[in-house]
Amino acid sequence: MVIEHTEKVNLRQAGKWREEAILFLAGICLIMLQFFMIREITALLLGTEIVIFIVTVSYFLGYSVGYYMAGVLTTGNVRKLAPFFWMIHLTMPFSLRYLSGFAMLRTPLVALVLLTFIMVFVLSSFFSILLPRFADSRGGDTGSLVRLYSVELAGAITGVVMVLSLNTHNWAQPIVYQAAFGAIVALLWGRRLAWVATISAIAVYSTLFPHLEAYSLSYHYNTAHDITDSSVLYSVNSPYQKVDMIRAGSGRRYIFLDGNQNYGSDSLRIFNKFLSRLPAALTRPGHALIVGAGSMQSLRYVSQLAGNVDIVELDGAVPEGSMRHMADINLHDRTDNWKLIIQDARKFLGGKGTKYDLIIMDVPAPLNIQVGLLHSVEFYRMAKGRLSPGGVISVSLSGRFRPGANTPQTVAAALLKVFDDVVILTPDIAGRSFAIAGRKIPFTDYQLRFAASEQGARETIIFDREKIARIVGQTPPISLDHISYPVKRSWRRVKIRYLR
Amino acid sequence: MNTIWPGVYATLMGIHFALLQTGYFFELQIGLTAAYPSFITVILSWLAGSVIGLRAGRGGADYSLLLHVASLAAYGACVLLLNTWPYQTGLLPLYAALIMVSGAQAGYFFAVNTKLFSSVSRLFLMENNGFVAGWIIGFFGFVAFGHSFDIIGPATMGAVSAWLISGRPRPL
Repeated sequence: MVIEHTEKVNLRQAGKWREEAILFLAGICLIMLQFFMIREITALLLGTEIVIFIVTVSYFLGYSVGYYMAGVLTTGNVRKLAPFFWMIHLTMPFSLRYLSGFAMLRTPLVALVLLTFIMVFVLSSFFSILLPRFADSRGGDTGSLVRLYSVELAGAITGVVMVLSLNTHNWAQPIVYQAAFGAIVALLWGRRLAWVATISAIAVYSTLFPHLEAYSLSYHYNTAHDITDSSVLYSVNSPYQKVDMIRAGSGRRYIFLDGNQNYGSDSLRIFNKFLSRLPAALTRPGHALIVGAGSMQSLRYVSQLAGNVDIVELDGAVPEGSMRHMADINLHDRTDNWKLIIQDARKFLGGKGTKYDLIIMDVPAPLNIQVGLLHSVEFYRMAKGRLSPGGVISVSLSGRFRPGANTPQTVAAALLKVFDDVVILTPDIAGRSFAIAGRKIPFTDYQLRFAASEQGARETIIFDREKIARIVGQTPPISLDHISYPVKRSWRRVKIRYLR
Repeated sequence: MNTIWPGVYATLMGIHFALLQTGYFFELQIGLTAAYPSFITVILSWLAGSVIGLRAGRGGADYSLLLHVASLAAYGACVLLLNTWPYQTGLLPLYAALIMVSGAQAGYFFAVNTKLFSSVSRLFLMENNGFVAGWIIGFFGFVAFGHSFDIIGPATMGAVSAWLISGRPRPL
């Protein structure tokens, strides 16, 4: 009798230990999902602010689905469901790329709906069944909940640390995630066979990962971005974004940040000439600053004409990839008058230090709040504070400056509010406008037009401050209390891409 | 007991926690740095605070209102410091401690309300529905009103939550 009772207690103890191990692993999985799977889906849907918002809300709605299911399912049901869910997850992130690519070819709206459905019902929902299910099965008392929830939170903390330490290799996060999920399945079943099956599956997944990763990413870029015969040069999930560098069959290279093209098209290559080489040629700066690394092509143009160049970039993964795979484009190894600073540009410019003769804003269009803040009144004030007396800032207006062009008007409105002297130029070959601003611009319109022609422009329209003010009209600039513009622009992009 | 009341209470508390979290997130991004130590600080401190709050909630006495006031005060102090001394990354440990206080309120909420519903899953469901709603409100509030919403939103919801906590349903 005593032995039988002891065995029952031991079994119960083992069951408790197992549940806690499962919750610890679920905590890891939930955090890793948030960092790499959400990022993946955001990039597949071309991650503007609205897309990030939809994907994140779907992820959290998945928790509600899980919590609801926890009240409906028994622990036995959960055990049966676990391998089914894991098998679906084992196909990721590759299957998501094929699914979205296939759907994007036909109706992009289907891709959006399909991936949102997966987010809500397939990703976070399974893991969130576990905690309330186990707590309820222990009687739902405070002591049990506190213990189990603490264990899951400890897992989540571990997950954050793992995400940060594993972001340099694109294979590490998915494989660790799949291994953690596999261990959950094996622990739920508690049989040796389950361990053998999960370990074997993880081994197969790890072996196939590099091939499936390369094929599925290429498929995505072939279908969703129309890049023929693409191959992946570099793909990293940094703490900020998904950075992909792609080579097309033609040899042309592309940079995508969260699925948005940052470099590669003809217009984006011409863009760098007017954004960086033109103002550098006109000012011959002693100290120049480039905000945002991208392909680092701006460095090539500016370093030849400047005394020294600082590049400030938030995400170290971007310049790392550019130095490795675009050295013939940026020629970073042929000059030594530059240095790279990995820091938030707002913090960098908000501090004291070198005064710059030229600041180049080599940043993407304001499609999300973060980038929007780099086009804000407050940011330009900081930049002005770091300009030398004759220094200027060069900014892309992310479109052609004209009445009714919202983005160029919004960016120009912020520049007008901060700088005494502003000039906008629209070179015919660039397809977009650029602004140069400062306390006093140290060159004439004639010199500006001549410099534009040297960069290949046949015709350049120049707007002075008065004309700019007339076109900007009442358009409000982006500011800390008026940050809606990037979201509105993002919404327009979503409508064009998915709802038409 | 009114059967709607526990659901309303848990949902509104979820909204409150989401507004605090989005507020911390946006304010640190604006006033400190957009670099990852900032958002990792929010996540880790909130999680660690939740663990502390959960464990503190095992005791008999109920300090929900006191912790609520402390949480709002911590949030207010964080916003004030960020606006007074922007971009001071040296203050990051202090911000982490302040966020932990708010995280502790979230953890404590779950510990003392385990019996609010007939099952734990229901408590989590209701709170999370509120959290999702709060996340949506926090996002669009920030988009529409910018930085000002990070003060108005949590302050308004904080007042509603204080009223709810002081008159909230006792556990079943």
